Amino acid sequence: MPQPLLHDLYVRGTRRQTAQQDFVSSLRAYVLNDMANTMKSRFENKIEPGLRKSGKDAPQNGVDVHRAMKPDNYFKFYSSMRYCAQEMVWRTIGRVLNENSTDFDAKLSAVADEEDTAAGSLTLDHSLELPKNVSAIDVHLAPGGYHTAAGADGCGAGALYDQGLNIFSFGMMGANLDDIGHSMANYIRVKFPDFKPADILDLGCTIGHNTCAWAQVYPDADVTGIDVAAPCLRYAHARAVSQGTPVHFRQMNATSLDFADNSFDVVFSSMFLHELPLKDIKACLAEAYRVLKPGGLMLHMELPPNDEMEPYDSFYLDWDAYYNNEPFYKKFRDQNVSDLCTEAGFSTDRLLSFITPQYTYMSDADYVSAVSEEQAFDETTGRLAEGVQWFGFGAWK
Amino acid sequence: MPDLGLDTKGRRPHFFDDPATDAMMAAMLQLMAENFALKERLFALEHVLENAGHLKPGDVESVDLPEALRAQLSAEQQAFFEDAFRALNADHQSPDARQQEIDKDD
Repeated sequence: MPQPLLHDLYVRGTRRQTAQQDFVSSLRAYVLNDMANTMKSRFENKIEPGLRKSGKDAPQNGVDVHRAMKPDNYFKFYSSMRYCAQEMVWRTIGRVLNENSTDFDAKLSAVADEEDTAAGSLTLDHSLELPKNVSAIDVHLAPGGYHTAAGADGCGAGALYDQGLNIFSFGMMGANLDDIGHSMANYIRVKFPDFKPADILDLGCTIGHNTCAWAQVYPDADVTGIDVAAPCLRYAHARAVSQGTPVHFRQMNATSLDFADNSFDVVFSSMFLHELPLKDIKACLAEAYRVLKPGGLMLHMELPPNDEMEPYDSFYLDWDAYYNNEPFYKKFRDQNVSDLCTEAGFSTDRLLSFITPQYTYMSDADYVSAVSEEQAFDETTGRLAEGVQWFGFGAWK
Repeated sequence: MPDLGLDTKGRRPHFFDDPATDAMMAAMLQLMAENFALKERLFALEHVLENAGHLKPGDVESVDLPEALRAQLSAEQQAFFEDAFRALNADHQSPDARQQEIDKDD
């Protein structure tokens, strides 16, 4: 059963809607764990041997595997069910939010009244032009995407994203959906204990769930989250206020930051770059380099690069590029991330790359022990399923 | 807060050769979700009744339904089968065949 979110903006539907959300969440867990394992086993034991037997070359990359899998009935069932489950995530939450809009507005007003005690802020730029990769696509199949779902003045898209992610992640992203932020920030805290960032920037922060994690791991730091989507930022601000976490949210495009050179000790992003066209990724990294202070760290939590993965695992992760309205996803995964960093201005001897287990589900002592040895890329890297590990890359300036 | 849309824009991919199979999958999963919600409600109802002392644990499992109720259930089950499997028993006709029939001279 999806747990109620740990802030005041959570809207609970009827008993029937909550049970349906439970079903959808469990369905996703079944598809992404059980069916995914069976599908891989079918590839290894039937499809790939079949190709060899018929004299064809073994798949060399994810695209080859995808081609081999498409005619397979199990792949068809897996994909059709996964696609339906994704639609159901948004549909069930959309209905709950629509039917409880008065309740949601009351919760929002109550949080706004608390604002005096919060040390964060919200700054919107109504003149900011939305990039086409946001405005033209319902990313993740979410109706209305990040920006239009509830009009420019509302924050419905943020609510949809937050409460949808809670169903989508079937309990794998922490009770506050901030495991990625905590895993990344704590990795840096543990591995670089002398590094004490004073100014932290999160690019493409959406609802600020992972931004808040940095503010919690480094409570003395001034933390800022930026995004192009006003509805998400409005929601992010209210969400952070509700949790008493001070974060400054600003509407801004990460490809053209309105910050002076050498402003931040950390420039972070999570699951952000793969939603951007390659030219925008390069612009973001160049901007990150510009606004970082000397000695500062650029860190991106991302999907693992295709050249680090076995062909089947590449194919498996790229499913979203083909079927989840994430058209730039595969092109990002085809890049060499070290080259992207050096092209942005970072030195080759200052690069950083790591794989970390999830911080949320173990004690701090166990986490310190778990990251004492380097982890290698494998099928669990970046794959939302039992045993998932997150990939981070970046560089010190 | 303005109403949120419920439909994703753009063309929906189909995974089976016939997109109708994907549409059937969507309907079936929605039905499964509804079925689960009903089951959850029954569980909750039994729990409420037990707490209120109207139902003892095991009462529902062990109860023998009266003959009249079993007959009603059986009839409803039969009707459900007929409703659910109606398309299996139909005499199917392709749109082209239907067109030919319409165009046929009297």
